Amino acid sequence: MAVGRARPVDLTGGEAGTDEALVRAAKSGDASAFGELYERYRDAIYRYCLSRTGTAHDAEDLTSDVFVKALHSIDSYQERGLPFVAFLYRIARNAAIDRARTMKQPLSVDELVTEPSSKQNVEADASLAVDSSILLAALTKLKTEHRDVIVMRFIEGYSALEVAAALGKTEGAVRTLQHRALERLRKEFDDAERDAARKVRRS
Amino acid sequence: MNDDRLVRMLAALRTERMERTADQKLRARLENAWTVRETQSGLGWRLRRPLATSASSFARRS
Repeated sequence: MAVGRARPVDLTGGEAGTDEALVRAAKSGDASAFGELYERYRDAIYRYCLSRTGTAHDAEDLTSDVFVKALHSIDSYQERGLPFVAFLYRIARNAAIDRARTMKQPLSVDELVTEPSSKQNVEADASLAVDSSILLAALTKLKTEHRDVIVMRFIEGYSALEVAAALGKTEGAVRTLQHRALERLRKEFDDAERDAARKVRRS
Repeated sequence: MNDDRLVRMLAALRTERMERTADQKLRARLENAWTVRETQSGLGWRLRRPLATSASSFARRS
């Protein structure tokens, strides 16, 4: 974008709306292009953060940090086969690690069960919301690489090949990780469910 | 807990969305960060534009 050109306040789809084009425009100073990238990936990054923190409030804070960091570091992003969303996931992963280091104590299942991720879900389907909270508690216990694969494959619905490209691994390695991650998550879920049931019996 | 149930529950998390108030707060934070970025990168000419124009770039489109 040439300096002095009027800044577009909106972008249409098509070629101009590809991630690559938007990143180029944002690097050149087009705020609306960055706004469009934010719009596209806000919820996906929020869900990733939710899987790290287990609570909506913390996930919102973390998502906020991720996009501000992305804004500051977008000039250093070079595509080279790595999709922009993978760049965001990488920032999110590092931001989550930084945040975990500063947390005084790990999340407890009790805390998660009493703060479901969505109040609307509770009203719509209480048992599903409790299951979701327990699942989020279990997700927070996973190793980073396991959680990344679970989130990208089963929550966001990326193919094993896409996840492999984003994480810099082979497709086979992603499938192996996926298998182990599901096994681990199932165990963590069962443990978290038992803890939650114990809490209910005590109260 | 079997894999099918676990995968179904994970897929259900796909409906999670950031709450509107948090989204608005984040847009405002990004707007401020963008202004700082422009200042630091020497694109001062942009600051002469009305703030409303800049703010609308992050405004929700729906």
